[in-house]
Amino acid sequence: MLKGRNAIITGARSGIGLATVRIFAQQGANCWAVVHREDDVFLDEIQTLQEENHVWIKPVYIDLSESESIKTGIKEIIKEKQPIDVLVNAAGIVSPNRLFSMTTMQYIRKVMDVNFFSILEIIQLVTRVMQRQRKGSIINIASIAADCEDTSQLEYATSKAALVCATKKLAREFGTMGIRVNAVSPGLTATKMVSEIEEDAMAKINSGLAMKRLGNPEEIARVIAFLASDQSSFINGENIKVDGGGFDLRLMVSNK
Amino acid sequence: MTDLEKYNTVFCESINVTEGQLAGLKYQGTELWDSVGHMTLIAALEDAFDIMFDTDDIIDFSSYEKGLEILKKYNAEF
Repeated sequence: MLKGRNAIITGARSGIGLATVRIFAQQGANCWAVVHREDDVFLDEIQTLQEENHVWIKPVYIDLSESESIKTGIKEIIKEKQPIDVLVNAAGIVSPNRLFSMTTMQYIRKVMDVNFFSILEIIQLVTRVMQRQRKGSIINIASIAADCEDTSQLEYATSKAALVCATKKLAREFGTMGIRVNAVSPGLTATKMVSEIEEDAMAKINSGLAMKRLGNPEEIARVIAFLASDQSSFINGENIKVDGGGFDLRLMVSNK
Repeated sequence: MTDLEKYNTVFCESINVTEGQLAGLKYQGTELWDSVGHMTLIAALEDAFDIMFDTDDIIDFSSYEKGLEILKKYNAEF
C-alpha cells in the first residue's frame, strides 16, 4: 500500500511508533524515524528493517519538549528535498494515574508541550512541503482518553482531546490542498507504558475490556498505514477508535 | 537574474499581478493575495531563494516592501 512513499514517524523508538515504522517498511515506505536520542538497539532494529524490506530508514534526533530542537530536526528533513508523503505523530508521554489536585502546573504544561504543541509545530513545518506537493497524509495518534470519561490524567486526556479537535480543524484547512489529516485513538495497547501497570490492576482492566485483551501496537499501526495510503483517499478529519470495542471504566484501576 | 528580478517575477506569477502593481501592494490588497495565495507566494519564494521562512516572518510578510525587508534576513540582496 505504501511502496515508494516517504514518511516521518515520531515516537519511533518503541510502542505504536516503532510498530508503525515496521509496518511501513514492510509495505515499502521509507521513513525518517524521529527519536529522542541515539540508541544502539534501535539502530540495529532499523538496520535490519532496511535490509529486509529494501527501504531506507533514517533516525532523526529531536527533543519534542524543545521548540528549537523540533525546528532544527524537521528543517534537516526538509533540506533533503525529498517528497514528504506521510507524517505520523506517534510520540507522546502518558501521565501517572493521579488526580488533578495532585498534579503540578509545571507537569501539566510539560504534557501539553509534548503531546499537543510539539505536534502543531511539526505539522506547521511539514505542511509547508505538503502544500507545495498538493498532497500528503497526516495521522495524529490521540487516545480514547480524549473522551474524558474518568477522573485522573487530566493533562493527558486534555492533550489528546485537543489533538482530536486540531485534527478536525486542520483537515478543513488543508483539505483544499490535497492534504488529509486524521487521528487514530487507540484503546489500551500493550506498550511499555502499559506493561508498568501492576498485575492485579491489569487483570481488572482486562476483565473490563470487550475483547478481554489489550490491543497490540501492530493492530494500531495497520490502521495508521491504511490512513497513510490511497486506500483512505476520501477520509479526512476523522478520529478512528481502535480499541477492540472499548471497556467499562468502572473496572479500571482506582486512583492512587 | 538579480534577487530583485527574481523576487518580482515570483510575486507576479504567484498572485497574478503585473510588475507595475507591486509597489505599495499589501496582503489582501488584491484578489489572489488571500491566505491561500499567501502560502503559495511563500512556497514559491522559498523555492526561488532556496530558504525556509520562520513562521514569524510568514506572518509579518504583510506587503511587497515588507517582503523585501524580510528576505534580506535570508541573505537576499536588493
